[in-house]
Amino acid sequence: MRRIFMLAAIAAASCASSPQEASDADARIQYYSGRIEAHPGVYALHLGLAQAYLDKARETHDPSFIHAALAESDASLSLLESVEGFKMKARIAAFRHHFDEALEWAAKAEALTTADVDDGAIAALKVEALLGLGRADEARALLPARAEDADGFHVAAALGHVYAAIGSPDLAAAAFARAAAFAEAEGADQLAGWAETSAAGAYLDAGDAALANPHLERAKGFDADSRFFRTHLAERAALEGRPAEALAVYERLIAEADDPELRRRAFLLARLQGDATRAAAHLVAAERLLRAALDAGESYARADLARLRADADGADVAPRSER
Amino acid sequence: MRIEKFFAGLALALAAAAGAAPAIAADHGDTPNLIALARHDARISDLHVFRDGDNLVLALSTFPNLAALSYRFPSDLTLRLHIDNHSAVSFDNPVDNAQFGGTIVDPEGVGADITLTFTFDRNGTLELATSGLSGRQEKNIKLFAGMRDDPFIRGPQIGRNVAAIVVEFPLADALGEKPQKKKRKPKAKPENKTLLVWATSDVPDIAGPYSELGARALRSQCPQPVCVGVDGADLNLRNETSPHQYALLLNLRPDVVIYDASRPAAFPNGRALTDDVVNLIAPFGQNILANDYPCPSANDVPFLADFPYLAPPQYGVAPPGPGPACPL
Repeated sequence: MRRIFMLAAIAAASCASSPQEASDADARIQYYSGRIEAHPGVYALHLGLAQAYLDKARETHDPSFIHAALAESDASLSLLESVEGFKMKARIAAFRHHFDEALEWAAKAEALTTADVDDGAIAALKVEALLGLGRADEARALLPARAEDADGFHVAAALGHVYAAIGSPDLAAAAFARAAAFAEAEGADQLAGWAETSAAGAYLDAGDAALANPHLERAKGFDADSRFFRTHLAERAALEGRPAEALAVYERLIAEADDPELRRRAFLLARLQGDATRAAAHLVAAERLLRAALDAGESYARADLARLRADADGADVAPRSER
Repeated sequence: MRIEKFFAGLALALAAAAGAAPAIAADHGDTPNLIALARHDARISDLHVFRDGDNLVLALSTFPNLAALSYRFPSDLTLRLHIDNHSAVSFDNPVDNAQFGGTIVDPEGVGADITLTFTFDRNGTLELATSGLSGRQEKNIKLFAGMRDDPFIRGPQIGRNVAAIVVEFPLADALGEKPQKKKRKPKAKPENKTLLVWATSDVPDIAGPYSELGARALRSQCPQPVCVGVDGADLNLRNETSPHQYALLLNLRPDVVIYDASRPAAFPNGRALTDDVVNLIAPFGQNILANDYPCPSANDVPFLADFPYLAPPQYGVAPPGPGPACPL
């Protein structure tokens, strides 16, 4: 039961950043910092702190937390080389869009596992990195072809990512739905909600709100407060021609925790509605956030900044078509 | 791209939370909570209970699949070895004898008469505290803590190490026997020669302390229903339940090693290092240890004849990959 609590807590901190969820990362940072002060030689505590910092980086887009996560993962590995230590390095590298590096760390993690362990998480890491590198075929080769053959949450979710990336929304949704079933069976409602939302996202990306709706309904039942879920509600509203509603949702999310991608979307929607002042405010904020990441040496922001500028120079662009 | 990060972020968050999913395998994967926290240093993999002459030897293995050149026990870990020397054990049920080593007459009466508590300072130096033993008896304890070859005779453990605690002390002390005075009359009631032994580990965490109960190892309670379809919550519940509560709360036998000291230690009566438990439990285990490739029947390196008995650690030995199922 406590495992479920922890899964939910960490998942929430990772995928979302409402005030409540943000405080979870803060609480973990405080907790693990204190534990490390008392027990500096425990490798797992440094991993716990690294994960908390990475979650905080996701929430705040403050690159200093990425660097803190790196320092803690390095500290953990210096104490003991572990599968989780290497996975953490892969995770951070993927977050920074250093996908080649992520693959290398995932391989190191894999080398430490044995036939005793079926580590779907490593497969998921490799899939993420390969997709980031545009090598969808290789990513697909790591996974079973059919959703029903996925033997756990990680593999099912990774399969969903692959099918979403190659533009197969039905297969992606089926895989995400299977991931949701795994999560639900574990009592991890937030994860189940995330997976159902992801299934909906596959259809929204394909421009089909009708097929997305059942998944959004199920996601709502699992975790209606999820930031991820509400982002998709905004996407649906935009897709269905309700830009004002979509913009309002994005602005609520931004008020909870700023995000350059949400700012970009809000900019596009505001501009679409002819609200130049509002659009400019979002554009400036998005650029500020991305520049801060760039200034801290995070090169992933470069592509995002380029896209933002392209959006700013273009004509009216619907948010969904940018995806 | 940011939204893609949302997608990836959650999958990876689960990866962080869930860690490596335990295969349907040995006791090595019986602790989902600890696996989720990457607290492999608190995971109990095996408990061996055997004799060397008049001494009792308890070998506790932790941190399965330890792949390191050196090891320092964590300073926030508490390991305990518990010995019950009062519970009566019946040997009238041949099925129980074969699977569990006997039948505990009063499962709810199981409790530790002797506890050895192991903690470690920041340098990994072992500190031992005992209860149920006198100061003189405590001084008789021979103690080892460090990295050793994984003594579990099983394919995936080939080439792997564990963090081990080994203790050896007079069996009479474990049995709670008083020194006999020369002119003392024989007792009317025969003394209990049977021990129940189990181990626990504890680490604190943000969600509360986590515990593991490791005893017979190898999911000895299987094939009882709780093990069918190995479920994380059930396994966690097992680890959070004291042996005396097993019958009441879980409808299971207490997860303890039964060792009748009047007979040689050989699984399931205690557990000798050389016991190929994978094969020994196969008739009872519903193939729970099927991934035993390449099907070893002896440890990959020889055990020592003397204390600490476990073989020295191995370095740079690649464990075998998966292979075909072993014949039962």
